[in-house]
Amino acid sequence: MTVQAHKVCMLGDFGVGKTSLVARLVRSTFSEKYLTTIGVKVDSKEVALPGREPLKLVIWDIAGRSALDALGMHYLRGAAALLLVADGMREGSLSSALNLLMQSRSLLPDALVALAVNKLDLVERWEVAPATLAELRRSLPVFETSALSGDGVEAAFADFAARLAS
Amino acid sequence: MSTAMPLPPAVENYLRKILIERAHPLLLSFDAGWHLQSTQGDAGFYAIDITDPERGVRELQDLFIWLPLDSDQDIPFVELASGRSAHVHLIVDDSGFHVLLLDAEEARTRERTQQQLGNEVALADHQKSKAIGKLKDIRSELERQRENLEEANALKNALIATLSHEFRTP
Repeated sequence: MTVQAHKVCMLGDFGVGKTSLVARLVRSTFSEKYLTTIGVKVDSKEVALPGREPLKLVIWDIAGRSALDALGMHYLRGAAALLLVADGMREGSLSSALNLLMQSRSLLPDALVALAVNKLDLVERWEVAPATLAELRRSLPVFETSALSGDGVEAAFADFAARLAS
Repeated sequence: MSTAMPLPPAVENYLRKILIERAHPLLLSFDAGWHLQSTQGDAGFYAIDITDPERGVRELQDLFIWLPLDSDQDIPFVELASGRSAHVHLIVDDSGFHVLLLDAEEARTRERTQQQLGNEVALADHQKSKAIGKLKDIRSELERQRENLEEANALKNALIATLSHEFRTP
């Protein structure tokens, strides 16, 4: 049986936890050590859907940037979904994520989008206000995630899988 | 000097040799349905298991998902499952296509060293700005409390002065 595969790109500023979210989802691991991603790392995860065939998410963990350069745009080709990632403790990373979304829209006008606001385990130190997230929730799905504890991680990707399958 | 002049064969051979040595090319040739036809180069260098096409080839297939296989493609700086970085090219041929891997580990390490430092400095700067902001808030709060205390103290002194005067002059 061939499982339907879809490309999902992780987009966000450096140090927001994109690689950690993928490691949590795919390998159930977490490392405290920050190691910047160069280029791209591709992983995959098969997601079971109730009453449907499973679906494979091919996850592209793209090097963190506040803006997309030519190489970043190159990596996005063929993507069906974009997971924007921001660090709740750095309000600027939320602006970067939204900026990346605007830039990517020229190449991927129809790609599904969701926002993961990461580092929920440090929520008491968040700069991103709940009111800001409430406002954003009116235009796109927003997940509060922690790569350390795993909170919200599966939910963010399961949401993509469900939307891609329908 | 003409730029179109070919290189002397000895130089060309030398260049080819050192470039191939450095690039560690691995060529995997496929038919149009991703069935492996032949390999050239050291698949072990990239830890790609070509004896298990399900696993080894799937990793490469995932790179070109939803991309047209009828035109050449290149994906720079791909971190493979082994952790090694490679530039991955797809080259179209009459009977299918080739996937060419060229080693990018040295360039990736160099780039990472620079970026890691820059990113860590930026993250530390952000932490520092937040700490300074918090210190300013604490200082403002202390200043406000000091002013309140001074005001209360002045009131207390004025009250004592008044009471003292009244005690002295009943």
